[in-house]
Amino acid sequence: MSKESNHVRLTQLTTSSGCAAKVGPGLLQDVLARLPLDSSERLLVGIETGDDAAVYRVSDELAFIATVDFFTPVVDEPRLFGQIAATNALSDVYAMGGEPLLALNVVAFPVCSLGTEVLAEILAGGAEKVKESGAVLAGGHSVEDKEPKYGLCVIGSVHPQRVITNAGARPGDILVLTKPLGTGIVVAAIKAGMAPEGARQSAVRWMTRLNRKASQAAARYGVHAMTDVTGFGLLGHLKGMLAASGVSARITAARVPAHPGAKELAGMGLVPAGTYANRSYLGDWVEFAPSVATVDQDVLLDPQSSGGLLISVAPEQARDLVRELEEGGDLGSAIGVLEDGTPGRIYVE
Amino acid sequence: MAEVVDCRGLPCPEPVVRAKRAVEASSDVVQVLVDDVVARENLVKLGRGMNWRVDVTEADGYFRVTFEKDGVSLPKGTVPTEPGLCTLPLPTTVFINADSIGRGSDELGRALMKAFLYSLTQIDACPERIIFMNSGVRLVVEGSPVLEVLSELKAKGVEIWACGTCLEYFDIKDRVAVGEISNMYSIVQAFMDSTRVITI
Repeated sequence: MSKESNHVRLTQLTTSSGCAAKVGPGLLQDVLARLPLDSSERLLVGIETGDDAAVYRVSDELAFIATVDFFTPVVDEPRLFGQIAATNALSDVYAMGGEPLLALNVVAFPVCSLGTEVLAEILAGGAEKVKESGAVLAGGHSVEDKEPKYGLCVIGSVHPQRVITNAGARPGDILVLTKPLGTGIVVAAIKAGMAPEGARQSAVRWMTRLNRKASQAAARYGVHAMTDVTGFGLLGHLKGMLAASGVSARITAARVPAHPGAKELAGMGLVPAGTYANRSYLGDWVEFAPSVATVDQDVLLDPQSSGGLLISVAPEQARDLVRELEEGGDLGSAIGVLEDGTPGRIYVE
Repeated sequence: MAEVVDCRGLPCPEPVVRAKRAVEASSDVVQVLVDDVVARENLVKLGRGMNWRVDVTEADGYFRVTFEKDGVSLPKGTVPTEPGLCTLPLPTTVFINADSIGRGSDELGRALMKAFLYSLTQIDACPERIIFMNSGVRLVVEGSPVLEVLSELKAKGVEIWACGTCLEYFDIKDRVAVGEISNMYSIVQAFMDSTRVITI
């Protein structure tokens, strides 16, 4: 790594970080409501169900998945940031049950003040992850900007009959989560210079882990619904799945895995603004039992960068899926169950 | 006169960083000014987390958060220990040599292991240390269902040892999330120094 890139602390260049930088769900809905809805019988998944990517049927055997995702630095090391941003962007394809084919870089960068070394490192990190996913990196687009941002536009493929959307979850399903929560908190702590090494290592290790194996396992079991957990937090993305599927959920907070140290950091006020935005957006949709501590609530609402998959699976298949996820190196945490209540409602006990 | 730290207009997590630094350095009352609700809430969390007294007032469109280090503040990460809370009269080592308890059903065994470790946190007397060997070392790495329980035990003063050879065998040495990595020599020494060894 060059001397120059050693000096730069990427997270100090932006006011918000990673998916915590996402436009709040409430605001986004207001804006999108003003756009005309395009429809086509070939568009299998559009924006109506709040899914992770668009799916377009090319033939009876083939559908394309298209997604774009980029954000501001979540760590100080350029190469690592590139890896995380690319992993996060590729995840949208995995969340639909597909495989990425083609990726394009999306870059905003202060080339004049930071120079090209840092940018080259970021892009090298991204390219590593695209390669690991088996996709091809084929160009991109960059603009000069004070705050660095990086991500990918990704095209993937899936069989039209095997798209896994937000909308198929059923009462009785078990909810399974494949990565620990708390990256928003740990990233805030990194920015503050207060993150313990263990917390940082755990967050980095999981943020750079592709959701590929987890997605392939889910596809093999024909799970009912799936999404990836990013800026709206576990509960925000769960709410999207519940609303699209017409079911309610009961989550057991003690079963939800978190990065080591994340809860302690949240208890010291290292809670990103996105957590508060997610809480106010969800409002009455979520009810916390009195026994659920504030730090546990903050973890459930924490905006994730490159988070895991949230899978809704039939109860008789849950055990085997969990075992397969764990054998593949992912988490297979059964965190709750779906019920036949008011669609979108979440009870956390 | 209280020390005043003006953090108005600063993005998260800067107010928390500055407040923590100021309160820790000061022997007096510290007031931190912020102008958004997120910063206010995070400062209240900081105060509670650090065991400081916190008070919030609102005036002219901003918040004044007042911190007072009520006597002694606790260093970060420590748990208040009552005398005798976590000591057995006899030095006891718990030896866990698998990630589940007993034979018959591994699934049941894993649930029992979780319940066993949780119960350890609930009784007054704790062992001096817990030693993990063979597949037992899976319990101390990232993703383990008992990390929180083990961290709690560790905070109470229980030593958590994982066999290094075993971690290497399963290729999870870089994923240890709680406790320390030990070796056979130290483990044997610990057994010999214990009045009793409880093997699970």
